[in-house]
Amino acid sequence: MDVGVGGVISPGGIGFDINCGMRLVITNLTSDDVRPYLKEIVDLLFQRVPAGVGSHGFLKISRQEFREVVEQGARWCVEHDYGWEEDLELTEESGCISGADAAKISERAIDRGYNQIGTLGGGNHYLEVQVARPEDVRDKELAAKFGITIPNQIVVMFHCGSRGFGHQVATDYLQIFLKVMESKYGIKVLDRELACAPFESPEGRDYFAAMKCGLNMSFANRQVILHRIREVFSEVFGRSAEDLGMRMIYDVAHNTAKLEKHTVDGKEKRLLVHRKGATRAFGPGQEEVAAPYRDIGQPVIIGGSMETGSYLLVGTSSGDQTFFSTAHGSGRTMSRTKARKLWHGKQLQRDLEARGIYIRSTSWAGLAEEAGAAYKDIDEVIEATELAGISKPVVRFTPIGNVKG
Amino acid sequence: MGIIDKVRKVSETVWEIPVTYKEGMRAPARIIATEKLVREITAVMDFQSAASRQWMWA
Repeated sequence: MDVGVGGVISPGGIGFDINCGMRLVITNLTSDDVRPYLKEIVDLLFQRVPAGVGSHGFLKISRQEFREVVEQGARWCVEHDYGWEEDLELTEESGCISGADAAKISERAIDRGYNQIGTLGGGNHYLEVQVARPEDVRDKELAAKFGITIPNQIVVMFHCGSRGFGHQVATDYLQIFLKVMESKYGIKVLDRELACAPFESPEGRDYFAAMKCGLNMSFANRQVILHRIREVFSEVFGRSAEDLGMRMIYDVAHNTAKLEKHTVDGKEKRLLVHRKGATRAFGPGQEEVAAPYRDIGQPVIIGGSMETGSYLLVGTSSGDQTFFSTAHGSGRTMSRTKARKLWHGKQLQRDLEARGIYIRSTSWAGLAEEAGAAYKDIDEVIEATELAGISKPVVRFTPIGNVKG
Repeated sequence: MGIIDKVRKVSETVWEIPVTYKEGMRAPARIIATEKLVREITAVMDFQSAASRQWMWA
């Protein structure tokens, strides 16, 4: 949206799970190191990183402290010893987007969010222990820059967002926009989910500041989850997280709107780029890319189904055709209802365990909904993004353990 | 007739839904996908048009 000529901001174009995103962490362990302890690790992760709709985290903070969190994001967590300083540099926006204003948030949103930091949530959210098999390293040089250098190296990937907080923020502003959109601004849309307001309007500006609180809450959520993951591995292996090499590769959002400069018809414009289910993928040399990766391009983390695999990629210079945006996942091929009819969660868990993937879930029905065949082929999705030139695969990861939201 | 019949192939991995597809569209929509994927995606879109959009939301 060109905000200079009346461009709009729309909650539906960002997604209700504001800053739903991915975080990827390496270890210096191999699958041989982890296999004997896999059940213990996954069971502990299942305890320490609560999953399921309405789950509450271990972080006990007041509503007022939560207001600080949503303005300060992952930085608040690191300042309270839930992470390392370097984690911030390896998070999009350094884990704290500026301009977040808790005064633009409803009490209902605060109530829903203040006890949910450090939780996965439900639906398609998950936490996975994965292996980088040597045959799946697609670009050795780039993989090494991310610290993936050991055959069958273990990584941890997780996918979650801003929980009930982000959803409430989006719901609140959708209602506000529906009231003013046509009567005040003369904007008509055919689908209420596309409700919007001019970016340069009081309502649009308020939502932008509130939406940024959702972004920060989600960065904080993933930061605390990382802290818990480090605790679990450290406990199981009797070594510190530093000693286990548990460094972040990156944290990237795929439900956002960002003000960015792009070239359109030969002219540089300031645009509000809505990315709902799309990952930003800036190419090498672009100043928005985190400093450690500026020479290779922005890391992109794309999750597949719990049965198949996931990818680490980098952005490319030819990504300008999509405003430097790429895929975020494999996407469903069927409804959750249909998946529940086709598979049973308990049987699926047994089948996956026989294939070497140990899964814990809060819900058998929820597990059935996430069956691999309910999703598109992740390898085909990645091939499309590579052939189109909008991102370049670096490593494919294979799941061996999964905590399902 | 499904959405796939209205999609224009721009290249091997770029597919375009024209503004004439649906009232209210102000710009064409582009899908980055292989042919196999674009067929799957448009089949889901057909289903969504007929049923509900909610289940696809992340």
